[in-house]
Amino acid sequence: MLEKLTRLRRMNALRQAAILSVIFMGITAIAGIALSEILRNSIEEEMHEELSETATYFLGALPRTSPDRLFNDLQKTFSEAYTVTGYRAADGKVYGDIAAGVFDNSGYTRIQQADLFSGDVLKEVEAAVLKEWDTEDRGHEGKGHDEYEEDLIGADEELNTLVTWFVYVVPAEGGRLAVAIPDFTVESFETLLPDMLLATGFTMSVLVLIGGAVFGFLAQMKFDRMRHGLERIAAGDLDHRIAPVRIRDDVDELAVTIDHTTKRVQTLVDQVGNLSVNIAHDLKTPLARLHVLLEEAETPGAARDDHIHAARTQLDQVISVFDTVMRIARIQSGLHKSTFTRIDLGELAATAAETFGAVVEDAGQTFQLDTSKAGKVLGDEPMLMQALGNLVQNSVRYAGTGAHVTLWARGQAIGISDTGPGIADKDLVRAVEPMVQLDASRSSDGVGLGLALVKAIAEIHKGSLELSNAKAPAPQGLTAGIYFNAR
Amino acid sequence: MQILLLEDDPELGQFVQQGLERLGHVIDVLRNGRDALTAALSNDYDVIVLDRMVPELDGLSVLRSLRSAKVNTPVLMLTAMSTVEARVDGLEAGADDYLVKPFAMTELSARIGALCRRGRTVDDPTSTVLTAGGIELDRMGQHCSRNKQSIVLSAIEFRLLETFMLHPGRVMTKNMLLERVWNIDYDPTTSVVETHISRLRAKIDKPFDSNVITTLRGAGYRFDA
Repeated sequence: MLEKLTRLRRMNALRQAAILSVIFMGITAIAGIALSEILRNSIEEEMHEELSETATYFLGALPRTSPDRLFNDLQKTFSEAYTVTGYRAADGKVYGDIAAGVFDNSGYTRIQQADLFSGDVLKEVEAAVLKEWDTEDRGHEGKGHDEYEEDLIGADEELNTLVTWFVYVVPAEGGRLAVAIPDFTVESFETLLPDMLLATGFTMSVLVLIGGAVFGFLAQMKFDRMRHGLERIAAGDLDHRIAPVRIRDDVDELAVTIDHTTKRVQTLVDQVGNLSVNIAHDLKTPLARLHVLLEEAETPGAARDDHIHAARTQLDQVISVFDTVMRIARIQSGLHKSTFTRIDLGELAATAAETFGAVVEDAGQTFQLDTSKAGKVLGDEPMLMQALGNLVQNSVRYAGTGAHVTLWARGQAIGISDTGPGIADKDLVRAVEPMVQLDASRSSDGVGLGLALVKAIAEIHKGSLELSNAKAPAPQGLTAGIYFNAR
Repeated sequence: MQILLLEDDPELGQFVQQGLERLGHVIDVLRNGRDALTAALSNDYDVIVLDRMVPELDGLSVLRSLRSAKVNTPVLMLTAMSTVEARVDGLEAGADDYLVKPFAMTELSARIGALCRRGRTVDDPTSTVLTAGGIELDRMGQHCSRNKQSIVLSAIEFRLLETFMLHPGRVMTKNMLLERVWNIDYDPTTSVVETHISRLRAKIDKPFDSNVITTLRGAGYRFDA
């Protein structure tokens, strides 16, 4: 149970809904209060206007008519406009039904019903109101005596709502004139409006909360699915993907991003796996030779110095391998700091030709530089030089004596083509795996890291290393190229 | 030569000390940075060799303190960190050379030899024309001649000869040449250095009576004139 409550507490959609509903209720409360105030003021103004108009009429009539005739009795009042008028003459005599004390006020005031009317008049007022409601609003024809009394009691309670009156008192012809209107319209507004708004706000809030909970549960189901998927991946199943087939919202987009990340992790893990297995496998040869040479150096009568020198050569080899492996790993993981500059591939090829042309020729091969239509790329020059060096090294080693080696730069690509035996088509992909040596019978010291390093360098330039065999009718040969802005 | 060595690994320290003493140098070996700094500030050495990872005060900090104290003795840094960043840090802090472990004794002694300024036969390394043994190398005009005969060299051959002539009589290892001529800090595994040296020899030695470039097996090359 506690767990369920915690999940509820953490539900994002529900939290948002709760915040929204609080805001909503706040807004409706403030709106209610504001509206109420505005309405009250506006109604008050209207009331004042009506009072003023009535007063003006009576002020006009007073000089010409006697107060006796002017000030209507209650019956008439209630059957017409609910307006009550009164007059206190200079000598103190009161005409109409308004209590004497009321005339001491001035201007607009609000007065309780009990204070507005004189004692017995009040009873008459109540009776008149009752009668009025009795006949017009209550529809009592044909009802029995008990029900009638109940209705009266109900009406009595209603009467108590007519507790306040608006009163306007002005001096008139030596005396004072008073005009009064009941305040019930304003009061019912005062209670009705906030109630309405509160009810609306409350209902909306409940609906929003329910909506939030529903969306929250739906989202949680989605997150639970994603979580289970991720747990599987964490347990080692790197092939598992969690994104749904149709991408509908940003949560689905997040799942797509997670899948990309998983794929990248899978690639990196595979690479590391390859590297580790192959290091172990391929370092065995130089280390074994090292062991043999040192053993032989120990035997009496052996040419110790020569053996030790040869052993050191093997050891240098091993160290060099580790350095290259480290370099590949650093480049692949993005740790190697590279400074990218604009490089003219033609110039790069020409610089490389200065160094490697001689090496190729000394190996009994012919060398050519082809930089027609060479383009420019953004790259790290030392890294690219090292890559080219490795490609040349492969040609020198495997293309055979008399082969022709061309260093070319074309558009956004640079590479080496030779006229050697090439690599069997089925082996072309394997060739770039670290440590692969395709010709198992070869006794040369070369370890197949060269191409793996070139591949890593190509990839950090957002390019690719592509190997291809020359097609007939051209002589057989291997082309190894770095293609920037890879396809 | 008077050499100061900062190295906390006792075996490596002993190995280097014996190797350098065998070559006729005088070595002071110190095990921590603070002692080394004190020694370097109080004595006059020809070359200072600093290991980066040592107790009390690391090699790089010792170097920085030395340089801010205006001690301009050539410094060679030893370290296991082969990254470009580590190398750049060392050189920016004021090191003159940088050697990654593990290293061969011949490599270390050759580099120390190249750093030592005593007995330098090149009077002014910044002069535009280098001369030795009848060879004249015009660094500005990119001309070369031996015994007044003009020799045409490729850009790389020129740089090779220039490097040799800036360090006459000193052993230049393959790695040193790769760094100075090709700006390479890895092993290219192809015979880049040998190939270009033999080309240079074909032009500068073969047509003449004497050889200026000597191969020292297991160590490197040397320019003698």
